[in-house]
Amino acid sequence: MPVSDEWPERDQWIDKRGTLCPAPVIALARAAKSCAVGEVVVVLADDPAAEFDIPAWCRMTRNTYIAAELQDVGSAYAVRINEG
Amino acid sequence: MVQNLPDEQGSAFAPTPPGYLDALGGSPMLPAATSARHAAENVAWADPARLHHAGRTAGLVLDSARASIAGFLGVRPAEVHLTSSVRAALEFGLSGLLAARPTGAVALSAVEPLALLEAGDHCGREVEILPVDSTGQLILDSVPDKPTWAIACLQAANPEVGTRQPVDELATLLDPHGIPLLVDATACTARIALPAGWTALAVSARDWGGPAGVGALVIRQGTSWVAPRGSERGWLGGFPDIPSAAAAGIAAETIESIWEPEARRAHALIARIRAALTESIADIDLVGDPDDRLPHVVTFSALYCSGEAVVTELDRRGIAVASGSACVADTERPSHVLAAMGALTGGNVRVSLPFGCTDATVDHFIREIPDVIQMVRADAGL
Repeated sequence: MPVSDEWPERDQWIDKRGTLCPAPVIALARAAKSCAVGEVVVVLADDPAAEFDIPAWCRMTRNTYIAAELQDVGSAYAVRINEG
Repeated sequence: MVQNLPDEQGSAFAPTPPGYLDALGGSPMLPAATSARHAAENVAWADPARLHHAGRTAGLVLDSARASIAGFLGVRPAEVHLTSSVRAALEFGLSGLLAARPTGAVALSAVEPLALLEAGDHCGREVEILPVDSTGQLILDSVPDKPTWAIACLQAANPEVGTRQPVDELATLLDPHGIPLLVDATACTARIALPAGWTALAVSARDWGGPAGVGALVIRQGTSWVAPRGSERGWLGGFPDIPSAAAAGIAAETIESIWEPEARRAHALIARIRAALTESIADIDLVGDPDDRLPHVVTFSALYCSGEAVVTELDRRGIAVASGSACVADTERPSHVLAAMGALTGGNVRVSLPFGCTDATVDHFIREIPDVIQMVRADAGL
């Protein structure tokens, strides 16, 4: 996982490649529960819906969507956790 | 089967089964249209271009259907060109308007039907996609001061999320530059008063209780456009399906005087569903304009749910809905409309009320949906 490992400020990363939505979003929500405020979670996913549903999750749950980075397979989505 | 007759409306609408909430996916023809098609099948089978008696009879039935549809739409019969679907109408509209305008880009809102977006991609012109806001409404500020487009395309309302589009406002911006506006009115006829600012208008007879196989392209008189070859007697592309055209014409005549009260009733029922969803389910993205919308449509997405699981469980409980989630779509891509709005695409549910939808069906949905979402979410183990 070359790029996600190097993602700046990364505190946790979750590899959900090969799964379909809502699995990546559910994994993100689970990870968020164990995060301290301000931590950054990176989700790796190759389901095309993740591109829309991870930013939407951030908006709906008041977390901060940072950026996406295209990988060889799928994309890495970085999210800053704002609440427990 | 138990007939789901409306509580107070007359019986001009064909009943749909209890729990049927997917009017966009299909609705039965009006009984008057079914009768008209059957009658026309016996007399209007010949080629309307022929000079013999059978041909003339077929031609008269086709002309009459065209006149009825024109009357319903408030346009001249000569402006109405019938065809086999709204998709064909849009494609003929786009290609015909472009053929008369040799240069310039095609501008389309990001939430136009996929068929039109694809036609834009293949028309050999540059394509400019105009953005929408979080309700799905075109951002008018994205229109340049001096647009040089050959044509612009904007739907009257989005069939998926219901939001009405600023068609007349866009037309006002385009008029000084002589840019024609192609308006897709799918899901809008017999549901809302159509905007006036179009140059060309595409409609589907299934929306007004007619058959699925009839669409129409209405071209404003005096507009430069090139009709597809092989079009005659007001039917674009191929041999006309005159019995279906006759059904579409009678459906238009029948629904003209009854759709408005039905639309008001649907608007209130959808408002009730929207309020119930907000109250009874956490973590949902209830999308589309809450008020300035198609009366019969509501769409929402629930976090941590698969759209497929929700649709399947609702079906098990006797409720039929659609979904824009990728797992339900034919394309394996999530709805481009939800994506363009920045809405959640997973766990998506689209409700569209058929004509004559009963309060009981809406109540049934309102009663079941919180439990269905909770059940599907339990699988996520959150």
